[in-house]
Amino acid sequence: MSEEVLYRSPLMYRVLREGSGALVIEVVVGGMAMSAVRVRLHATEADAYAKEGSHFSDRLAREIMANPRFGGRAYDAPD
Amino acid sequence: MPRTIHFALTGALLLAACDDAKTEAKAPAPKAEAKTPAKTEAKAPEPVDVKAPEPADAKAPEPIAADPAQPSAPIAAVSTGTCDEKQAATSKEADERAKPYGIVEHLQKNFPDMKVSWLMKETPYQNFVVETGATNFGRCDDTGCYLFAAPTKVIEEAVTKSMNGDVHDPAVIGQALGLPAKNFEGPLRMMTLDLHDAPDACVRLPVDSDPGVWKCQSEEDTDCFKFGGYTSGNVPEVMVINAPVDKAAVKEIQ
Repeated sequence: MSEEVLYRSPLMYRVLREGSGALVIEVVVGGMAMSAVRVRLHATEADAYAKEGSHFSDRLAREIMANPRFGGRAYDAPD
Repeated sequence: MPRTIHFALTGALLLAACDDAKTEAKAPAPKAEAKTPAKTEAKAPEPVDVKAPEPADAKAPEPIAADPAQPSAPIAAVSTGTCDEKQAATSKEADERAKPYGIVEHLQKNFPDMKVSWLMKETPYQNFVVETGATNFGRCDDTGCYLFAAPTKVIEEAVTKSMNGDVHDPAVIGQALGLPAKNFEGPLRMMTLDLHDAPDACVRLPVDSDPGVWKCQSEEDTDCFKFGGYTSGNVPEVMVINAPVDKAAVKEIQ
């Protein structure tokens, strides 16, 4: 499925738009062994990103780094 | 104002504070091109005696005894590199919390050769290091780029042990490093940095507020951050701030 990179942060995360139009944040997680997880944004989160841009996505990425399962919402980024 | 602390062992343990770590660092030599990582190979790490990790709150490491019979023994040195005011303050707080342990004792005990390594899955490596043309490894904000790293010997042994022909077994690396096997599925990159070649990097104990820290949600969590210089899998770790990409060796692991 095609996807568009909307934003790439030096904090090591990306905001993507999937082919379906849904927004996804991909975040590098882990310490001395790093991998990436993805979380599909809820509508409220997508709205917040539209309004606040990277201020919002920075906060969201830090939350995901601190809790990579993210309440069961996170899934492994494709290898 | 940058603050540098350099510790040297020259037969007897000497402690000295100086303003410029560069004067005692080896001349940096580029080892890898970030944009052509696939063609780079890490040098085989030199044998080092990294003792089995112990909990950070264990007793302080035993002093390293000098051997008066060998006054001209080779210099072994550890250094915390160059830390700005913020990082120096954070390091000081961390050392206070870890007392009687601290970053210098941690380096002497677990990183005597000052070589650090870390692993990344291939795809994030390409997306966040190669495609961005990153100059420093790790998660960057206005205060620096933050990278967790382990002793090269530990990572190298885990990788070597996991190899089955040309392909690694993620379960073996995971078991060796105390992390889930799925963290190591698929192609990996192993980065190695000799901190002697990166005198402008700052090294300290990781703290809870560092970017990338996975906060433990429950007592059952075994792959989250615990303060003290060791992972929850009991692997020694340090926080390296501003680890330069062009000084690191990058190895592909299939």
